[in-house]
Amino acid sequence: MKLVPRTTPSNRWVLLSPLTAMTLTIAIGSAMLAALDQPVLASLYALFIAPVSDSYGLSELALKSTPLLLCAIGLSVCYRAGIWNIGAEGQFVMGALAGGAIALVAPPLGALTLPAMVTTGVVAGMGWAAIAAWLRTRFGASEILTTIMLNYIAVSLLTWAVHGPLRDPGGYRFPESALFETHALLPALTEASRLTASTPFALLAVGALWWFLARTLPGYQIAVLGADSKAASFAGFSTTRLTWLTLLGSGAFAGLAGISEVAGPVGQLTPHVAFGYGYAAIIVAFIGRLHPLGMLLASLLLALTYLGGENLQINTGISKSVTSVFQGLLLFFLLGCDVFIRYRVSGRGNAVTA
Amino acid sequence: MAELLDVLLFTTLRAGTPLLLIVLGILITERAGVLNLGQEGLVIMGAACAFVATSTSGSVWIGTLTGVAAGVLTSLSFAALVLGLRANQVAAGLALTIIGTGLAAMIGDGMSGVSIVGMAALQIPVLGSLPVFGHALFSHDPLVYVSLLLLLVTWRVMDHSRLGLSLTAIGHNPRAAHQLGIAVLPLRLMAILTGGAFAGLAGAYLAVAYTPLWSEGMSAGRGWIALALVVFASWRVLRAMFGAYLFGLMSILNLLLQGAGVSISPNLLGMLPYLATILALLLFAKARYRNTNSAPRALGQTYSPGD
Amino acid sequence: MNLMLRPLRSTLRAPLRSTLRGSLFSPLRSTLCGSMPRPLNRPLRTLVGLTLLILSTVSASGWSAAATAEGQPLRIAFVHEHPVSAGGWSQSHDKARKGLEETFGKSIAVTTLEGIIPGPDTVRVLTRLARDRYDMIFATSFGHMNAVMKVAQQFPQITFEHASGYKQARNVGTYQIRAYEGRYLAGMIAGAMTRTNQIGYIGAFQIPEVVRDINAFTLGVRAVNPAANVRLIWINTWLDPSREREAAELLIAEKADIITHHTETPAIAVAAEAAGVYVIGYQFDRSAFAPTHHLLTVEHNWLPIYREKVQARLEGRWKSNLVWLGLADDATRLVSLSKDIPATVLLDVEAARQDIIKGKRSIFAGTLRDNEKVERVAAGQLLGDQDLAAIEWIVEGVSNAR
Repeated sequence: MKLVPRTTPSNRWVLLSPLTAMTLTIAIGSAMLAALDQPVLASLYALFIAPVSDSYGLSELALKSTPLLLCAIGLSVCYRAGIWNIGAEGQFVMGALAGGAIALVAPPLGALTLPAMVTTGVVAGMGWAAIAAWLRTRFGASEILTTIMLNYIAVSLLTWAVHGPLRDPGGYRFPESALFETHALLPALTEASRLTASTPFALLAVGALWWFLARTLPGYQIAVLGADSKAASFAGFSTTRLTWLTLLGSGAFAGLAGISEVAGPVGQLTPHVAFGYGYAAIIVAFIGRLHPLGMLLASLLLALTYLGGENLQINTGISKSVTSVFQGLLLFFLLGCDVFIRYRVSGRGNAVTA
Repeated sequence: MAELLDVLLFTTLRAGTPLLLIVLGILITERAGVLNLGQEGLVIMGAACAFVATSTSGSVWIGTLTGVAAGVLTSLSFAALVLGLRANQVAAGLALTIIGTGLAAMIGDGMSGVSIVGMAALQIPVLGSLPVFGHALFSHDPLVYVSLLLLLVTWRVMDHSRLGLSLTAIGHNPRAAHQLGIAVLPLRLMAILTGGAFAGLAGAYLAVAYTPLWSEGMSAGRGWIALALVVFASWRVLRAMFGAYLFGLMSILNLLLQGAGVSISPNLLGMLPYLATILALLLFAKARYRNTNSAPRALGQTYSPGD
Repeated sequence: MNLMLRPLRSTLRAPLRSTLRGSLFSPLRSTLCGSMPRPLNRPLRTLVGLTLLILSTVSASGWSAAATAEGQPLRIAFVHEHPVSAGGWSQSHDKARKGLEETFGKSIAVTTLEGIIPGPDTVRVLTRLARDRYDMIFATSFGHMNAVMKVAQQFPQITFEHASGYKQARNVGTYQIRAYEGRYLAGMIAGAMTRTNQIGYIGAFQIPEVVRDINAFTLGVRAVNPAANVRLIWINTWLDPSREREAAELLIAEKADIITHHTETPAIAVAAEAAGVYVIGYQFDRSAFAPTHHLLTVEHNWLPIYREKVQARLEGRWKSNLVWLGLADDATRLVSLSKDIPATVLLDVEAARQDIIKGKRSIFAGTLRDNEKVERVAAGQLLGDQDLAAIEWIVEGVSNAR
């Protein structure tokens, strides 16, 4: 049994791969549930169907997937260019922190408050990513290292801020900021949901990314050439410029996601603002194959697993860690099944041996 | 003053040990050209399995070996994906992290309230009573010495043996290495599994000797930090050791500074290890430019023999 | 743009247009070349059909499973931030939950949720519970406060209770334990038992709940032993056994012969046992982790609070209030006291306990100075509940406090 490269990638497997992966995930997951003495069908219902069985659930699904999608959009451009930005988490936190600080300490800006907050959040996310870009272009420091360290530093800054300067003066000295005033909160789109303008914006961003990758030259170059290949430099594509652009763009999106979360469903700054969305977005980017539409679907799927895990716990008491296992298995199997897009299994002959 | 040095040295050695183990494992794997971002998953799996095994069997050594085995088996699945199915290494590593942390939480469910008799520290007879360094160097638990032994072995093998040379060759140019008759995939598999064993051992150390307890999330980001430290060490074994202990020292420094009455907010002091790592990297960066072949050139790239 | 690029751009553009014209999926580097997928062939159709079949079966069975019977028992939900087996705050609540089930038996039905980290998810979880017609919801972590307030507003007929918070509403009550009273007594024992006059204290974050306990403990220590000193270290985390262990070892190296903590895991008890120093546990009985060196634990006993609240709800007389119970109601108590504690010390402590319960002794009575020698409570004054709820200064006798 050998893997033989195909002459052209298989279109059939482009669709078959995620379906097979999901089937396998459900199969293994069910086996796990059965081993835990849980009713399998009822658990699967609780995991995948129940969370979205009413309109509240659907709106929550959209709410949960929005920050994931926003961060993933930014990350996908980085990853296509071969820049391994692991720092979406830190950029998210900095966006939340800086934008939140505007809400808390800036002099009354009236109608300008929200735009100021959002702009500051975006710029802060970009700034945080810029540190990594500068360290890479000036010192050759791997962005993997720097972005991971910057994540931790961002969280430390957040903790310091909510314990100190940004702490609610009327809050019995608990490490949380005051709740943002109404004019500093993103308005809800509808009465019944917590969705804000960030969700439609994320959808617009999906369209914009598609357009960027498919219809503009830089986008096409990033998509096909990436930063590492000789072809890129031959085409006049500067690695430095690419590093800066992709990291800044990714930081902007992550920062936007951060400020949207704290000015939206959270409504204040707390030490828990580092929700792990930055890391989850990396998964979304990969499951979505770095493609805008794929990432949209992937963000919904991942959000569903989060909601499902909560629901499962409410219904059956199974620990929420089963959510992580399902997410990991899905990514795992998807990566495994994707091989069949580019390779086929051959039992004989014309394969070149390893 | 001597006592302060003693405490400093003692705690640094202990705190640095899990980091050192993970760093060595990553170094071996990355020198062979494979980027395994799943370290957190490996470490926490090692910890969970080691704790449960120790608790059930009553033996810390069975627990430790179980932790190592858990690391090996978990990294085997990663190897299957990355070597066998040619998957993207970054994504596969992340999948490993998520599955690992989730599975470990399930394995360790309910074990937070369980106490075990942890690994006993060795009391080396003569050397242990030397002034100043006696206690700090010679009264650790056995796994600290195992880690130092593994450090020596890794250094010897990676830098001074044919095997190490082959691994490095694979990491730089697998195709050329293959032409030279080096078995690329089997050696990469071995490197991945060794890395998994080391990470599992680090987790076992945390759960069975260092705390010794089980707590979800007890790996506390060490896997990520170790990944960064390997880059900081330019993939060189001795520098990796330096990085691991430096980081261990920095994390304790925060506590020590408080003891000395330094009035910086502990939240800001908590940034110290991460800032120090970045700074140290920049200091070494100039040297790195001269040493342009430090990063394995094929790191992270999928190798496919038939292409 | 330099001259080289111009011809290249036009060379690239032509094939670009034709490649992309028909495609829905844009190319992914080194994997796909996009064109619309061809009509589904048989194996694929079978797979899709199978998946749909599975999904519909699951839906059907799940739908019937979800239609639970509307029962008589009072439906109670507990929402915890940490796993209940983590041996600290959440576990102490869970222990009380067991007591509740024993007391009320079939008249209540309890669900427990753990790992609900404060954040946007909390609102969703609470909303789900409210929609699932739970009657009474207990949120046990401070960070849940604002989520509770939001959801409570939308579900006025559901009773919410929040531990350690300060915001109430018509259907939101709060509750907390005067652990500092127990700490004071523990401090008295520590002060009497220390030989080196150094007592270690490992705190998580400098917030009122922690500071209150440190201050009360120190006041208790100094009441019996004015020469003793409490050495404090902040570790900036509630739940990290390695950090706790490191801090404990540092304090022990600095000659502390008794250590105590305000953190979640048993790591400090384990470290103390290993080093042969005494440990005073907190929240949940830690004697299992320090068989020979466990001095005592200041235990949280939530049961009196829960019993009263559930009873009130069952009898329809529940009202929102701020409940803060202490020694008098056995909400905080000293458990698993070591045999090493001399009888005289125990007698003194018992006398103090009675005095506090009867109101004859106040812990936070003036004159009190903070660790920078500034007078905070004048002679004859007492710190009231309001001040205690927001206290941040640390009393003198604690070294290394900011």
